[in-house]
Amino acid sequence: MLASGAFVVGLLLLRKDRSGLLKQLEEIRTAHEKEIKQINAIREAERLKNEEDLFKLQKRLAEVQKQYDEAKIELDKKKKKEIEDLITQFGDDPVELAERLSAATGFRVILPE
Amino acid sequence: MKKFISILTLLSLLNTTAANAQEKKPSSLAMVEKLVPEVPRTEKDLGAAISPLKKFQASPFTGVLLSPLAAATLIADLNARNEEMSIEIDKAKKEAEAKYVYEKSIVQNQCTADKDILTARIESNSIHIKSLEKVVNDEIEAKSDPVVWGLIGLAIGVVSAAATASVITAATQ
Repeated sequence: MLASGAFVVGLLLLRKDRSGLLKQLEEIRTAHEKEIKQINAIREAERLKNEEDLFKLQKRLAEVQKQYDEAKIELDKKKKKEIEDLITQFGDDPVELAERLSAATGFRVILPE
Repeated sequence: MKKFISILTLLSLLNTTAANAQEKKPSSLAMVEKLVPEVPRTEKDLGAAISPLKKFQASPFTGVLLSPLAAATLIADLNARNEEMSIEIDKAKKEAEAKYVYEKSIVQNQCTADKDILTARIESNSIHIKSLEKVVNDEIEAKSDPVVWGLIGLAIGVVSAAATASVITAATQ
């Protein structure tokens, strides 16, 4: 009877409060979940930014190609105009045409005897 | 007479061998000779030259005659050469610049994301550390005091002894 009483008293005295530990574990778990959510959000933001940058690159390349095509068309027009002018002005003047060709190529002109 | 015939035979054999050797030229050399136009020996080499000609006019050298349109096209093409090159260079430069900006941006995005992730991890780890520290501190604080336990043991002993003594006294009486 006496021993049983001592045992009960001992149990009551030795009993530990584990609720604090559980609370801490819960806090750690919550922090970990928050961390995972943050990482996912950061990676998603990175993906979106990369997509946006790719779109910007494609837009810029299309712009450059457009500028290039326009410049080529402009140059072709210029060339056609120059050809027309040369034909109109010196179509029946081979000497002048030869002089122009010589100026463009560096070849010397030899006049026929 | 026999000697003379043998000398003739020998000479003819030597002649045919030499002719065969001349015919067997290296193939690459033969190809080059085929590609290079043969300049008539009567003409002197004038180098790179052009000559303006009218129809039926005698030409000063053997060469290619261009129509006015062909000559004009050639002149226009050659004159536009620099501008054409400039357009190509400009395009290549702009494309390279755009790609550089894109690649730089991708690396920057990755670095920013990595930094943010590391910050989040540090934050989470500091919470973890704080929690564990609290647990450890609680455990240290909850540690039992040996003096208290000694006193409890002593009290139980005294009570037990007193109870035993009272039981024995009661039994003897």
